[in-house]
Amino acid sequence: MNIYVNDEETRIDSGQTLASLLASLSGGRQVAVAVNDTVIRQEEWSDYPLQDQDRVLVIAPVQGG
Amino acid sequence: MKTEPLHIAGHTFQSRLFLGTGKFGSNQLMHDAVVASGSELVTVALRRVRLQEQEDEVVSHLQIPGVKLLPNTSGVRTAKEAVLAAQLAREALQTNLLKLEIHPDPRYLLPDPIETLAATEILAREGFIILPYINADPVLCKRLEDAGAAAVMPLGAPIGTNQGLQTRAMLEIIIEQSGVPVVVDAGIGAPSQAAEAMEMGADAVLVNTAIAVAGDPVAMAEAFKLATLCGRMAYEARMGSVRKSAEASSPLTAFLGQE
Repeated sequence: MNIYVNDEETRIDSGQTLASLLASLSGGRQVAVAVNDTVIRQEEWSDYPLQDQDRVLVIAPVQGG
Repeated sequence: MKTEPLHIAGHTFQSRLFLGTGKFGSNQLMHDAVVASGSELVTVALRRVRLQEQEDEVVSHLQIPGVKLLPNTSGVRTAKEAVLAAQLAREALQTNLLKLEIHPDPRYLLPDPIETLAATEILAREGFIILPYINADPVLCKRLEDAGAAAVMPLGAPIGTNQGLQTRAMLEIIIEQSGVPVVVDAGIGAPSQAAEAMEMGADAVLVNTAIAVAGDPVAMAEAFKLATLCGRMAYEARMGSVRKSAEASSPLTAFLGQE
């Protein structure tokens, strides 16, 4: 199935959780995540099954004023 | 030399200089400038992760004893986007502190007052400690205070311009009227301008560009530290009033004799 990660179309296996997606993508960085504009807390990532067409937003802190 | 501590929604700050972390040449330089500034509250931004690239991680460079992080919502254009950004910031950094900034205009980066007020109303109900970045509008400041803002952050001049306190007359009214701390944010380009804001009675200043783009950012951070302290000390010492006509500092007795 296909999901969108930061607007980039990404193919994943069905049943994949948010935790496994982030482990492969975020490289261990400190990130926060929203799926379809709802924030998903880190403790929920391992139980969060992704659905076809989900829009996943992954953000991280950077320098800024 | 100590001045009165600043309290914002249960957080206490001995330093009245807040620092932005943008535009530094490296994370090490940013870290060293934060340390030299003595600041206890520094901003960070949030960005979409570029998934295939290794990006340097900023937070580890800001884990400095006594320094709290103030995530901002830079990049959002509406209240709705700001609410999501705030929720993500809280999750990423485990803090309720929030610099709310909504500036859709890319040329002057001026904040949108209507969206900012709407976002403040929503985020206050969600328990955020909101420091909204806004134009120096005294009426808006009162409305934000009523909506639950923990402080107000009126601008001195547009972000990154180093023009100083162009909004001085309005800042004076805001400081006079505000029931929450007033942090002059944006536009402060020289230590003397930070001191000026503090002498006027601002509760704190937030400085970024003037330090980050200086020839020696670490030395400039220390200069701002001293200027902010200096201005606050002068304010607490209660400055004399400005007069039109002269008032003698020396006795005017005619000691060479009259007649």
